[in-house]
Amino acid sequence: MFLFAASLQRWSLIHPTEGGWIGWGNYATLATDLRFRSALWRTAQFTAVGVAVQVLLGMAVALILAGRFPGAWLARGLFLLPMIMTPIVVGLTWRMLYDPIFGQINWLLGLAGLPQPSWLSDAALVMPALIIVDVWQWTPFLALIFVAGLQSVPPSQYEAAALDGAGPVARFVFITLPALRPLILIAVLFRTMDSLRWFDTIFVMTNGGPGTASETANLYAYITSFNNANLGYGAAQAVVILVLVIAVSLVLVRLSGIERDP
Amino acid sequence: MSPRLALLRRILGAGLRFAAGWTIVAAFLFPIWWLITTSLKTRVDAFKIPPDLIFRPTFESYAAILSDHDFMGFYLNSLIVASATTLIALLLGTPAAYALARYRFRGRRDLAFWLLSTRMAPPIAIILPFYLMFMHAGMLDTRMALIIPNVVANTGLVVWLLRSFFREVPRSIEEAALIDGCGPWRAFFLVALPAASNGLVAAGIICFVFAWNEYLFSLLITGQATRTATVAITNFVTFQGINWGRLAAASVLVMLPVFVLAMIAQRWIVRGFTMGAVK
Repeated sequence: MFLFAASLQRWSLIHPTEGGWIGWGNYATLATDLRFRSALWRTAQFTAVGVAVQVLLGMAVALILAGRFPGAWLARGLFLLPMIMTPIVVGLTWRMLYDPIFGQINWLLGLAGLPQPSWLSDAALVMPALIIVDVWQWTPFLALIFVAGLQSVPPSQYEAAALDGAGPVARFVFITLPALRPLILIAVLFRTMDSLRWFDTIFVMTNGGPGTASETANLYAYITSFNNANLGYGAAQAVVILVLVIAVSLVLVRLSGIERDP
Repeated sequence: MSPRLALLRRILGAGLRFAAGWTIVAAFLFPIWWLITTSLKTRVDAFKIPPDLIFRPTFESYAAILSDHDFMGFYLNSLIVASATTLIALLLGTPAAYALARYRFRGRRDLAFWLLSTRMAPPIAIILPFYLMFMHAGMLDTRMALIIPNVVANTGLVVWLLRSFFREVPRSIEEAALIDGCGPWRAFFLVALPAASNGLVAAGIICFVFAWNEYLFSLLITGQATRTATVAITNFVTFQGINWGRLAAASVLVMLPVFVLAMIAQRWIVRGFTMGAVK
């Protein structure tokens, strides 16, 4: 990684079209680039909201799926399909589903008499639409992690608590949650790392549109580097994103204790 | 409470969970189901609103895709790149994982974190230097140019995953081998490796899945000759309108290997995606 960072530094100091070294010029421009700042902000929002929803939803689903019922093992097995799906395919599929005229989502909304907006072309709706896709794809991941955790809590703890008069909610808060805490932190760590890097799906669904309404930092870096052919500037953006992601991840890694050797 | 009442409560509980559980799974699988059915519809049917629940399935989209030599060529490229990536990552990663699991050495924690950090890097940060390097070396649009970044991106995953598997191999059998006169290398090859064979399969499958699903690297590095299937699918989205039947069929074909592998490696999927952190 340091190798890459070093090479990025070098490249970002070179202005391709002029073939000269402009020192920290790229970074200076970056500091005042409003588009970059909005892109960063959007990325942060996408990740924060997405991960929060996924964790909550995942926990709720896990509580149901961890129990015993006919075909539970099959249900859990099938449940992992969304997360394994090729992100590009996910993007294309949901793009079809979101189509304002032919998509199934609007059809279903129409059946319920609800408004049928143009999801991916509406600047206000496009981010929530993308978050929904993210939630769809990764809630199973979190749910399966939590299911594994739920199944490893010894039932005796629950029985003891029940004998002491604890209701189901109290049992959940005081036994389940603390037991699952390390798993929750690990799950948040990985989802955050992945969400901050998310590119493929957004690219194929909206390409940052409409306008720049769904442009995340990664997308902007891509556009700068390859659409605008401003490789130096794009590299600088990539470095900044990298540093930010590592900083955030470091905090989460520490919290989750993942690096502790047994 | 009476045993009969308790039994009733159990059945009701299971029944509710059955309904809730399967409803949730069905809801989540809906897009996938929709994708598959669209791939089996004729072009006209695919557009119908409200959509037919019962329709005559047709394989014409699949036939068109499978006979499309270009696309099948891209599909093959995906296969080659993903397989090569997996092989190389395993070759590089397995000894590293073993070392991290068994031996104490200076900088061990840093090395492990360094490998984890490859998961933190946004793909654009990884691919940009490679793109520039390959451009200058004239290596763009070669398979090697695509395999190398993929290996870089996935070796960390392989190492962490295998490390967790190696940790589960009881030290006693290795110690027994060492006492019997095996050197450390032989202990590795003849004892530890077979014991962790599950882990090798799991790591291989997960690595393959990630390499197969890769898009951005492919988009930037490849051209007509070495393009992979993930990029090829997006070519179905043209300005004349989206050929949904074909697109769906191609998508299903692209997803198929991954689905099959995921079903095989079910037990280790969660472990794989968290790089060995969660069992």
